[in-house]
Amino acid sequence: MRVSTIFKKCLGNRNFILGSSMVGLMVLLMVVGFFYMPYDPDAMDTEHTLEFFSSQHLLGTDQFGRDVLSRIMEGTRVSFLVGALTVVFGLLVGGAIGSLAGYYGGKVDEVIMKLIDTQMAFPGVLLALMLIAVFGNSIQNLILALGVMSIPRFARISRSGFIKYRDAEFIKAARSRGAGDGRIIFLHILPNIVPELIVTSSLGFAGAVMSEAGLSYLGLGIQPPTPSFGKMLSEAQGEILKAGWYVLVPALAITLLVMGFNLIGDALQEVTEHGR
Amino acid sequence: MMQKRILSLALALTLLVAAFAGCTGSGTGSQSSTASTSQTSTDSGKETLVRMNIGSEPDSLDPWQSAASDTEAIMHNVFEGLVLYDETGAIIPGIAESWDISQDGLTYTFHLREDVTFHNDQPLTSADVLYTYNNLAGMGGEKAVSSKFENVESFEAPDEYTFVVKLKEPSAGFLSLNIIAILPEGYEDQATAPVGTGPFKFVEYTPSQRVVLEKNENYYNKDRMAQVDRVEFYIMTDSAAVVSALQSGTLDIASIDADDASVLESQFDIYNSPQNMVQIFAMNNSVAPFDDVRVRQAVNYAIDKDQIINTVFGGYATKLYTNFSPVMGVYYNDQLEDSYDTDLEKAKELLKEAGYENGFEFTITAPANYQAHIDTAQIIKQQLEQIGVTATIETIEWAAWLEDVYSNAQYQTTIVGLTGKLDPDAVLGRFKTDYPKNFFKFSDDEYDQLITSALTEQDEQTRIDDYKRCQEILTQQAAAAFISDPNLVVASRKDLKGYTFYPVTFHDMTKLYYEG
Amino acid sequence: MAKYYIRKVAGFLVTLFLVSLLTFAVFQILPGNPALVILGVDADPAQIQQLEDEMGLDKPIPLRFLEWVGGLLRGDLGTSYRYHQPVSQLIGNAFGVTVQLAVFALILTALVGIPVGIWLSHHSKKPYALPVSMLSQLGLSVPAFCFSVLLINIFSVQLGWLPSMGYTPFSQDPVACLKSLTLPSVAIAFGSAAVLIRYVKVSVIQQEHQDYVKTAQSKGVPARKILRSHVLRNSLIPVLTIFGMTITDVLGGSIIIENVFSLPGIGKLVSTSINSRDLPLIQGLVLYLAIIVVVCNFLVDVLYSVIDPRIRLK
Repeated sequence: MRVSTIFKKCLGNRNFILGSSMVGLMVLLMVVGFFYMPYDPDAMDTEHTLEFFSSQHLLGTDQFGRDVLSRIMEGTRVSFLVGALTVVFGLLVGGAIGSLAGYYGGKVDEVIMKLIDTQMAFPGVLLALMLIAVFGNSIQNLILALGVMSIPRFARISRSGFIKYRDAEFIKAARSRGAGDGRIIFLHILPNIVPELIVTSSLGFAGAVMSEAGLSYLGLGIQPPTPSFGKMLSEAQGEILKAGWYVLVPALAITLLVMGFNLIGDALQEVTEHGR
Repeated sequence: MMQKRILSLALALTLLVAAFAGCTGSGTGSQSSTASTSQTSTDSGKETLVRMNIGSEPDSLDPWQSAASDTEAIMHNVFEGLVLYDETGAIIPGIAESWDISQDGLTYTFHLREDVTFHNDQPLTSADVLYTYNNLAGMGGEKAVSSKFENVESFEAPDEYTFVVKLKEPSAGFLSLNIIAILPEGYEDQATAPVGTGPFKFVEYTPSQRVVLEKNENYYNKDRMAQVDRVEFYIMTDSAAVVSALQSGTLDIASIDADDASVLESQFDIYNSPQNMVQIFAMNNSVAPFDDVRVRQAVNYAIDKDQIINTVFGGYATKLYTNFSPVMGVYYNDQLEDSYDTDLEKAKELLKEAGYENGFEFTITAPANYQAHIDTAQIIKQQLEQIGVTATIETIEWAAWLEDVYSNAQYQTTIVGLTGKLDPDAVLGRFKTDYPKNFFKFSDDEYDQLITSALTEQDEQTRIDDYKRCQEILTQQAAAAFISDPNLVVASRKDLKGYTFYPVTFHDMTKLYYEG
Repeated sequence: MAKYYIRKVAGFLVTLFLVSLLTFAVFQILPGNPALVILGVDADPAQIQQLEDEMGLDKPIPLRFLEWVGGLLRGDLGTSYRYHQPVSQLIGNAFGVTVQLAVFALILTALVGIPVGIWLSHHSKKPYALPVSMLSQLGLSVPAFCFSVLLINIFSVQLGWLPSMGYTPFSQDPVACLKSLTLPSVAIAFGSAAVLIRYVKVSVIQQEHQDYVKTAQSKGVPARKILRSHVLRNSLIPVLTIFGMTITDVLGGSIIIENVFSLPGIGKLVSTSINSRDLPLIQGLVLYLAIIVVVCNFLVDVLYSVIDPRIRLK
């Protein structure tokens, strides 16, 4: 099925519409944030800390009197950046590994899958903790950790795709016409598994946003005062006795983003499967 | 199917909004029902129990393997030294009921009490004291446990209840070293079942959960006899957990985040006092631009300590001007209190003089597990922006901080809290040029001389003057930006009385009693 | 058959060895000295020296690894740097907490997931099923720690019904113990029940379109009986898969959840052992985690064959 057809079908799928409007809202916040923010997200006003929603501060102020709405707007950048880079990393590395395993099979497959299984036996958070402990606490290393965590997911999908197609008639035909491995992999098989990879990417994006929030909640990755949803949530938890409403703001932001990408992923899956 | 999803979402949002509405009521409505549910501890005839929190895991129960002040704060109920200290930090008799110091200040003769027994019923004699001190100083074939006793020439135990120390050089600070715990000779299990002579006996330790002590009925000093039967210290690293434990009645008394005092003050008695800590914004004096005293002074002029105290510590902190807390009493130099009042113009001028008219960029390396220090870093970053200086905050693991910053001084600036000691030398000695962990890289000849001579100085007034001058040098040289001494804030059940503050962190459980 | 198992076990042992070696190597390059981390900034240099000697940090690195492997072969996991207690005892204690959490969470997951899944398979088109499917969609999307914070806000802070943090041992106070595990279990179950509901629903619908169900229906077997004796049995397979995944996750230490609620379980032990550079402890934990994954997968396989005799242990 062609990507353009998938896209058309998606527009008729309400899950897709719903998911994209959630993600769209967050994108909007991010894009607007590049041109206009109500306040400097890092500017403190220690006379007005933890104030509830008002016309001056639509989403209130945090423990330093910073404007929560502006911080959420800046926080979307972190989430999208981390999500996108993680997916790209997983797609490239996981996709490549899975393709090799699926296409060549045999010993190559066995060794690769053994390694993937070993990695999955290691809890993702432990992996991230150790990577960050070794390489230092920074957003780059957080993305690296999340990227590594997402490898198995992409590897499995592309592996099963390649297994499915490697012995198909049209591949045999291509091979008999003298097409090399590289040509077969990139021109003949890969386009066929693009829909699966898109679905996985969308779900992977949701997973990455979720994990980033979890790790920055633990204080890993994003450095203060740069806002990130997970960091804001843990800061808000510290103020929970004084301003219970504050935790709901980052929690809602995380939920919208994750749910949005999940719904998009579900919709894509539905559309591509029904197409077969 | 799709319709259902949309509807379900709408409902989800409604629920969230409802939760919102419930939350905005500033969260006091429910608390009355949860407080004071456990009155069992005060029932007459029953065993009385006090449950308190500690903020970190004990590093070791064995005093020779322990250095953390949190551990000392609870284990000082179990262990005692030849001497003790009172609320003002003055040295008072402990296991030694009296002592004589020779004219030349080199010989200390301690007269031990004859009625002291260890918790394992072994009577204490000078042999135990000798055993303890030989280990501490690394004498009699033992490996040194402490480097503070290098000045000792010899130890002797001429009879069962006399202990004599001979020093190489006179040392005014020596007497206060003797608060160190006396351990029973030949007992090997201190790390798992500690045995001391104090008013409380050790009962159990469950890692990451609690440490339990019980009253020592055979304690020799009736004036310091415990008034409660049992004490449980719960290890709680999260301040919100402490508050909810207090509110639900699972703790009777707790040291809390200053921030939470306002939430608790209606149901609990709140006490607070400076805890002899120095929260310091350390600038590496050996790297540019902080190797220039004018830059360090500019930073000092730009930092508004009151804003930090009010925002990070809810006002419960004592402003500092040098590396010394006012609780140190006679040694504290109160003449420095108007230095570096916030003055942005002066700060800019100093930067200009130093050749940084257009500011500079630098990194604040903050330990990731201390939220108060990270919060302080965020405020300092804002404050320094006003004089055109740009800070980047980098949080690093505590383990990495200890290695990179504390041990190897590989950093530009950092924020940390240095816990106080009774002996001013232990506090100010950190800035001596050759102190192994002088991570400030501060170096000043006059300072080094004063620290060295004060240590052997016999005349108390001269010694006090020396230490005051040291504090003055630190301030004038702007060795660092000394921010505040975060107060120790304690919330106690209203019927539990007697919590007492000391110049070092010590939760003295003997003073606590239930009213009525 | 026996040969298959021998190969499998041998492969597993190699994995264990590699994982241990890797962990050991990682800890050699990590900045941070365990003695300094334990004793902190107030430490006396003499104390640090003594602690380092006691830990054997002065010995050559390969020798230390060999000594650890040697101890392991004798069944001795060593002593934790941080807690001065045997690693096996520390893991044992934490395991006790984690198992309670896992069991509690699984019971909740099953109690909610299976009936709701079955119910939804029949009623999902009806309007009154909307709130239910809405909740399950939320369960898939709200991160567990995020949900935990909301739970704490409502049940601990606003209502004051349940403790927000900490753990009371069952032996000390059974009621307080259950209370302390309630919120974390609910937080875990919220997500895993949502997944379970999805799978149960889909597989019940699939099974009901199978020929054997249609045959039974045409024979006049009551719907309830068909559900109970045929459909459910066959739908249990995906349920087991989800169970296997959840239990592996929870027993593997829900690092974030245990941190949110300050539960002294495996996950908490993992993070403190990394923070304090407690090499013997983290080595023991890594072994434990690998074993848990393998054992859980094996048990799920066995249960598969119990439920469906056609699936043989291959």
